[in-house]
Amino acid sequence: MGHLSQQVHEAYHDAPHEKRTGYLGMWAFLSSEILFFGAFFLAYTVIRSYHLEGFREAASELSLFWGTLNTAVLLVSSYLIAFGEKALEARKMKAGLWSWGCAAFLGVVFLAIKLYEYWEKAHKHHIPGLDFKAEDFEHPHSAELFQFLYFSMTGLHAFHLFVGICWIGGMVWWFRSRKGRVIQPTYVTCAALYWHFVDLVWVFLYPLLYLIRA
Amino acid sequence: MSHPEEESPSNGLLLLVLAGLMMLLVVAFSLIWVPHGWWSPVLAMTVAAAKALLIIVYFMRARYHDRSSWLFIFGGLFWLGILFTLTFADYLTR
Repeated sequence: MGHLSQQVHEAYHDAPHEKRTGYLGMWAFLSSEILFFGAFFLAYTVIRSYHLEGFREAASELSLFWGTLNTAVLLVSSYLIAFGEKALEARKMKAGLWSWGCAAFLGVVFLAIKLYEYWEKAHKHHIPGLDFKAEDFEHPHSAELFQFLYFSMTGLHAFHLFVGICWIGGMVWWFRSRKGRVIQPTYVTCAALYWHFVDLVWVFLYPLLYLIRA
Repeated sequence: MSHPEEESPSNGLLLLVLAGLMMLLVVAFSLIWVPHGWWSPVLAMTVAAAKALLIIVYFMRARYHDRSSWLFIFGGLFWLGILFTLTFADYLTR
């Protein structure tokens, strides 16, 4: 099993300097991600202000059960990542890897539920631009706009989660398969921050898409 | 320069934060039964912001880093604020 390096990379003065640089660098990247998702949140807010009735109608078509369950799944996964990060830093590799493995699995569960929701939409012919059954809605144009935003925002989020699963899953695999090899602690910090960020985005998507329906 | 990065939330605190997040999820979910008004989206987003704050402060360890880190953490939100403000300065005054 691999483990975290106790040596500081030559570019840094000491271990806290290295970790702090990684932390700030990752946040600089996440700031750009905030603006990336922010454009979608802005589009949602502006379009919603013009299509209030249609958005309410389309939002009430979404399953509150699956949306809430998925939120809980991501929150628990975020806890497992935080717990695992702490364990890995304390060189408790087994606990840390189990925790991160379970978090990655919960990420897969989230994506499976999301795919089921997409399948349900396809089954109801509510795919905007491709197969949209306008007669199901009183405000079909507005409802189609909502569906377009729903698929764009959740799709982009799902892609980020997929990257997170590969990242966390890949690190677990790397640690388990590379006996005696070391990894810089900064990599663990960055991976954990990325996962929490994906969770943060969903925390705002959940009320916007599922809860604000009346 | 201080290096508080060595510190991190205890396992008990992490569990407590998870419990808080779950409680806020229940609060957010129960809002759909509350009579609606213009304030219901505001309430829902306030609960979301509370959840986000817990995640940033404890899970992402913002509390355990020195204050200059907050410049990076809120940098994106600051520019997002400008994006929203200027866009709505246009849309709301048409």
